[in-house]
Amino acid sequence: MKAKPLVAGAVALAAALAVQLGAAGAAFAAGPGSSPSDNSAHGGTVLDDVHNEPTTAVAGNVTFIDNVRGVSGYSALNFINYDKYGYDFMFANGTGGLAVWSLKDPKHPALVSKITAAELRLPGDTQDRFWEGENMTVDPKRKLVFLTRDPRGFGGTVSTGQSGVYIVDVKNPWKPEVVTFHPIPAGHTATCINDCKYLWSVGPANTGTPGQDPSWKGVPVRVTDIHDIKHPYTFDQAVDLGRHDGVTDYVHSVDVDKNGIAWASGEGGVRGYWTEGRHYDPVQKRNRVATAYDPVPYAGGTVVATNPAGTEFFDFFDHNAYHNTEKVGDFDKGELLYITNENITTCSRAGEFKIASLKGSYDGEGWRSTPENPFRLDLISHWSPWGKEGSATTGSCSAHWFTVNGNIVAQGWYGQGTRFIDVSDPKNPTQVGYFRVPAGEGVTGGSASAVYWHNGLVYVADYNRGVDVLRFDGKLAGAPDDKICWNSCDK
Amino acid sequence: MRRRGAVRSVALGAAALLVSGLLGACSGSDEGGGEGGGAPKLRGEITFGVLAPLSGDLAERGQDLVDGAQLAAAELNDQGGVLGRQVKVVVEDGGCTAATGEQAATGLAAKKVVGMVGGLCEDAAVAAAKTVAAAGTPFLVSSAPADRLIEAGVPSVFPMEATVYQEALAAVHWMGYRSAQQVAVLDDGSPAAQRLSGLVVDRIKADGLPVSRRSTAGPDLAKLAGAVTAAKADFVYWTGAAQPGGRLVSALRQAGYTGNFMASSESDSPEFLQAAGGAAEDAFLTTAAGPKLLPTAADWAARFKDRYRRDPGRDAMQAYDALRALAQAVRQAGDTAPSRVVDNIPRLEDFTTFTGVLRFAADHSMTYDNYVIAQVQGGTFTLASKLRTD
Repeated sequence: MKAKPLVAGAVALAAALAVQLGAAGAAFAAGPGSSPSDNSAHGGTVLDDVHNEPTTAVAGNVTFIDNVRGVSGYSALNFINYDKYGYDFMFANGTGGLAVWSLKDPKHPALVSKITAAELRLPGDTQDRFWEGENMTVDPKRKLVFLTRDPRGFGGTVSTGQSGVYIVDVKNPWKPEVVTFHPIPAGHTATCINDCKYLWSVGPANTGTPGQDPSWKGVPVRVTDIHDIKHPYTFDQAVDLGRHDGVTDYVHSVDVDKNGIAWASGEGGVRGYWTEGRHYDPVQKRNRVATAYDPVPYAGGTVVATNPAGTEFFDFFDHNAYHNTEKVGDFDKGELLYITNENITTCSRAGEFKIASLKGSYDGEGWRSTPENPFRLDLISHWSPWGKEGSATTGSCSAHWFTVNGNIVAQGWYGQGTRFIDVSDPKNPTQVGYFRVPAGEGVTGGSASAVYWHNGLVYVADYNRGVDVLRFDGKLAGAPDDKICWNSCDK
Repeated sequence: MRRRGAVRSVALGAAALLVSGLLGACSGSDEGGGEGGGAPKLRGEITFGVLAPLSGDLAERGQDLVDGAQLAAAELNDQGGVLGRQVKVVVEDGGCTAATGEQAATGLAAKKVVGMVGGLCEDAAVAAAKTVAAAGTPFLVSSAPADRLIEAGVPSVFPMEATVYQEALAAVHWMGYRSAQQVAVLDDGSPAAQRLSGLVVDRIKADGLPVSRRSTAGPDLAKLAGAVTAAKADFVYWTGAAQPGGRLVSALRQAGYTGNFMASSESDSPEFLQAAGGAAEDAFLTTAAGPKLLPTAADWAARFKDRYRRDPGRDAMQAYDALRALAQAVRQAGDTAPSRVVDNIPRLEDFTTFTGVLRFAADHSMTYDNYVIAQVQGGTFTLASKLRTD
């Protein structure tokens, strides 16, 4: 591919704006009223934003288009389409809170509102620091955004902090309103289940807080009924227990595939569950109705450690996953699981992107695995940017969140930036694009958390930079997806 | 029968009560008094009103309610009062009609109460709520059904009871805990039972669980039980009256039904147990929490008994929690201005009732309700689950 020492599309930054945010008192803009065209090209009042031009960027097959800062750097984004406006809005959460942009001009998001971390503080909090909201989930029908609060947020610790979820009504994206903060004994990430009638909240690692089973090494799935957001209800019984060779451990992410199967990823592997309908339960050996609070196991497990074995924790820390429901290469339809193995270690040995086969895991094998008789999925391949074009040699380099379009995986790799990986041949993942922003004079160095395909563009949630808007200039392998999964492909 | 307009004003001194548990956990530390081991020195009074039927069929319950509020006041005073002032309780007989409720609320307003608790009777409570609307007097309504109070939409009124919808949620969530696969919802045809049945069925359907519903005013229970058993239901929920509910579970067991049986709060009655006989064993109940079911209320119930020489009812427990919640809102407000107190009621800090955190949604329904699951064990109702994880 052709490497570019600097971004194209800088014209988009003609003004190279570095506008300071307004005073805190201007946290909320006036609503758009009945007319969405009462102000700017973005359909309503627009707040000042910061745009950081990445003059130091290295890129291949990628064009930089814009950068927006909003309230901080971000762990995650999500998108909601509004029929009444005729375009999408983008939501991001990070240490600074929630930021909302109009995507009337998708190339140049316009900041329309925010809820600052200070506004999210609860009694007893000691810092204005939201944490962490990875894998942000939304209800596009009811126009709700869920901000997942980790106990380490707002000055807390894993053992003393308050976890849970802020339910934010964004019917009027110019005026998001916190409906409630609902405490949940889990809260690193959360995912809408069953058309967002339930929320699965997961993680973090063992908190030692009252209410957690002391035998658990991490927080599994907590299920919250959010049919009625005025009266959320979290079940006392957790889901996805005994996930790490029989030991209940840290679930880090839940990602719903196009068939509605919820895949719980974390320490000890990736396991899928039916959450609706009547299915054969390979663990209980009977047909039964699956619900969000009593799901039916489908398939899954973990794979052997790679690159080479590192630490006991990170070797089997499957951070997030995507179940490809289609046929890819020589593999059966629905056979492949794409996995992020996060491993925070030296750049050369950092966590990788893995592809595993689900074959042999459909009969509850992943639920019967023990240390003495461990079950492992077949590892098809694994990949990292180490030594690849456009890569750094130092810094934080682990694989992180990704989305998939056709056969191109767009993935965040912390300091290694955004990587586009062609998985048309699952045995041989190949880099087909990259975008990385080293720190430099006036340039905020990048730390890519999550990468989102969206309507022909790519949006990067960056812990440092905010949101970068990119265009992938390479060839899109495979059949383009009608619907990109941004943590939940549910209806 | 009923003493119209009867007002009893009770100034509570610093009774030498042992205060522990909940009160210790929620009491403020910055309000002066209470130091040096003696009775706190309080400056001035702060008056709360109590609305309760003190005559007629519900007089006993009304007195229970009053006693609960007075115990709360006494314990608050032992802890230094509220804003350094002695808590005073004035009681008005609100009766059980709209007219008497309105009259009692007017009477309490004339006493310049900072806020009100109580209610018990729905008609009286709703009328009282509407009466205080103009003045914006904070009113934490205890024991009275919540639905009509919420529909009234009075900004200063907060029901301490859950709605019918929330009972439906409790029922459905418990079905989830029991891994129900095929549910039968049965009622006796009364409007209240049908409403609850409908809400339950709608929620079950939303989860994709198979559910059937039967409504019958004069049931042939043996036939009904046979139909339920034939349909292979593994969870039966009865929303009708207590006595037929008891007979129903008996008929079901005789028909060979081995699944879960649960009844609504209508069956929280000795009539249910008597009608069911031995078949009541293991049956579940959705019911509002009371002191007999809650281990967390044991210490408080002992204090109550020590003071009043009888066990408290749930009206006393509700009123006790309501008065404490009102006092906490005043503390947080820092003064007694109604609007400031009302603003603080939905966001009480470090405050719990006997069932858990007290929060109110935008419509003033309780965010986390007080429905629990009881189970018949050894011929009596016992606590199966508080259904609370907050």
